[in-house]
Amino acid sequence: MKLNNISSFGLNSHMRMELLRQQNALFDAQKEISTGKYADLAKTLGAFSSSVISFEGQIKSITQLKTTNSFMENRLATMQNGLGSMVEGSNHFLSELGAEISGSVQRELMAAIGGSMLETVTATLNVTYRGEFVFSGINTDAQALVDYDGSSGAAAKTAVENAFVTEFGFPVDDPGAAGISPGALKSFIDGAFSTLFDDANWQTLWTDSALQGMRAKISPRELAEVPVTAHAGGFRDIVAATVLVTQFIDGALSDDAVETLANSALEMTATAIARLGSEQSKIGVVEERIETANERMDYQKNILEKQLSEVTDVDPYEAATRLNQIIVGLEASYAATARIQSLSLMNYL
Amino acid sequence: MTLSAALRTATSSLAGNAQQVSALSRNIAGVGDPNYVRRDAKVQTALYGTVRVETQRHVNQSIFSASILANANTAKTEAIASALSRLSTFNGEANFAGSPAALIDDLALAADFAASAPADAAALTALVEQGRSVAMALNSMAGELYAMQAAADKEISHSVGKLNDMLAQLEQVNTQIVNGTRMGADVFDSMDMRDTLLNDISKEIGISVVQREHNDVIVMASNGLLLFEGKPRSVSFQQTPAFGPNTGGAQLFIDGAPVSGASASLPIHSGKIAGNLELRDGLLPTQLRQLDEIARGLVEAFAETDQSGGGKPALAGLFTWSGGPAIPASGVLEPGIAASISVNPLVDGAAGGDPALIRDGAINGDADYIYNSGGGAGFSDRLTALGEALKADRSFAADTGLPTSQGLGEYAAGSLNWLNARHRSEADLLVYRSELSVRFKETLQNETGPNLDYEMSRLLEVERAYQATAKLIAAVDEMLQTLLNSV
Repeated sequence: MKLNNISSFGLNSHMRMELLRQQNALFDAQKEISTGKYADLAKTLGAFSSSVISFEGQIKSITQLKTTNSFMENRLATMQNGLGSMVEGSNHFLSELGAEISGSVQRELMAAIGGSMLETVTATLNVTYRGEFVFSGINTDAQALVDYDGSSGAAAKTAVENAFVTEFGFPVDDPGAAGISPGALKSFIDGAFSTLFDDANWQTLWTDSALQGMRAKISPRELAEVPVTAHAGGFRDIVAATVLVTQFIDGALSDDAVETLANSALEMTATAIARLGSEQSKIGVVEERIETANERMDYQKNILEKQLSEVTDVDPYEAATRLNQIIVGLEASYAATARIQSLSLMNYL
Repeated sequence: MTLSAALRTATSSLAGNAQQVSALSRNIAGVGDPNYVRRDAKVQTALYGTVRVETQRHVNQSIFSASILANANTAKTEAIASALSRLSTFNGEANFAGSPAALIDDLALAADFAASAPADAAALTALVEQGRSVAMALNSMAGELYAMQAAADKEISHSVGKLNDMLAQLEQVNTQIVNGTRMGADVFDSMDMRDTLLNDISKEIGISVVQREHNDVIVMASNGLLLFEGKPRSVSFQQTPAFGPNTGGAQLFIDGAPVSGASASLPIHSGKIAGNLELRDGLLPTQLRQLDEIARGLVEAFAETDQSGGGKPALAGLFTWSGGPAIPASGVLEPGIAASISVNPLVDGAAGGDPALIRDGAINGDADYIYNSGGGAGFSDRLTALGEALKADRSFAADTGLPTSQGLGEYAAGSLNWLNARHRSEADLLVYRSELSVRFKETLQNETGPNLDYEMSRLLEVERAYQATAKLIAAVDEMLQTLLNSV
């Protein structure tokens, strides 16, 4: 009968190796319980490690997008406010003009009203958010509307005055202006005066705004653009109306001519109000897109966070059970080792 | 059968007892030595009624061979697994936050943030800073990899030195054994020493041992080349102190034949030396190539191109390198670019540059490269495009272990996956191989190691036999005395 020999050294070292092995397992299990994640993530995930980075990247991207979306929302809100107050002011101006035409407002007063309305429009268009002009499109460091009575508007003012002189041969406060017929004045307003507010002149004389609005990502795959700049027709109309009134109404024009002028201004203001209203709805559309995008991203973020934790987190109950098992096994090993070590023939000799 | 014959038997029995006790005491002394092979003292009948004790030493040759083979394999896997474990720590603990893949993701985020606030100087500066983080991470990882190559090379040189020393010792011990066997002396202790040496040699380089007459051995490396035959053969290696972009390492020569590198027809493939060779020539260079491709991809993605349609070459944008402002060729490996990639000082506020140029273009001063022709501070198209460029497909060199056409972010993620997959498989292999090693060692020990209880009980037996023999001598002596007294 062949019995396998067991060397004393082998027996003892075997037990020692077992203890070492269990203590290593104990170390890992303890780490997993205290951090809640796998002890060695690289070893656990192996070839799927990049999934962790992908999930984290998407979550960080969504968090950042929500912040940048709030910038855009605030910018749009500022614009909405501006447009709203401009519409309100224009309505008021409209009623003033109506009163002028019916004769209950004096010409000098009307000129002053026109002047202050122009100032209000300028201030509203030049409103800023975080130091950037919101109505200037991508030229955020440039003014949206020149200051008509100031140095930036000097060129515009000169152009308007010169247009009148070129048309009629003398400035508006010259006594000869009384001889201008309403028809001639109307054709001036519709002709040379309107040309001052066409695309080329608007860019040259009146505004430093860009044609393109600010563009930004509102969700991982969507781009949105601010739809309104100072180039919008509604702004040009109201500026034209107020300039018309403030520049010419208090000159030497006849009463009939002044009535024609006031009527033209009234028409321009009414058009402006309508156009400004449609600009407001354009902005509203973008605001709604942003809101929808935000909701969608919130939902996505929840899912991503769940997926990430599935990949990296340890089941705490399983880890605790495993730890208990290891501790029990370790204690049994300790007991067995102690007892076996004390077994020796030497004790009985 | 005379009384004197009985006496003669008793005398030889006493001598036999002495030999047995000597063997037993040697065994008891060797209980704590893992490499000790127990002596077996066998009592045999000889001529003229005498007994003879023959001491034997049994080592199970097949298990011994298997054990040293397992040692060699374990040593190789250990070397590779510990290097991989160190490499994987570069990628950071918390969800690999320090890996190039994660840093490139953060770079894309920074570009997107700048795109939403292009007029904000702080956002542009943040983009430059994130670029700096990526460049610095690539620089330091490349530096570490070169250092690890040098360390592996040093280990090989170390191992070769040790190997040569052990082969010289082996020569001494082997000569002792052969001469002793020829003279009939007890060479068992020397044989134990030789087995220990062979065990240690097998950890450095995998060997196979062939027995010859007179207890001589020849030792061959696992690829068949002779390491020791009577005299040791030469194992030579030239250490390379520092590694850089185009540094290879020296080849290892056994007996004049190369056993590593492309020209080796018989490469070695087990043992610590083989593990370090694979690190130095295989794993680490592949990882370096991947890093270099990531760096090249970054320089390419952020490069500015001629917007005027004039076909001028692309120039360095946010990232530049030692060969900048020119851009390295697409899809072609550029060794060392990972170590030299840096943030372009022309856009780096800290170096006197202007971060706003990233938004506008014409970083290098040539107006043909301008993207923001209108000059508006809120121009975001270029920045959005830069964020997208990190995801767009581009071509990568072959021979890096990763696909040749994909986005830069994907490529970096693939590099991480490649490393961790290797880390995991080597770790699993190490567990298996070291388990196997331990099993073989235990089996060998159990077959050849002394058991204290067994030796002690044998000692009791021999003691009794000695007492009985002594009693026998006394009895015979008494009988002879009675005879003499009556004469």
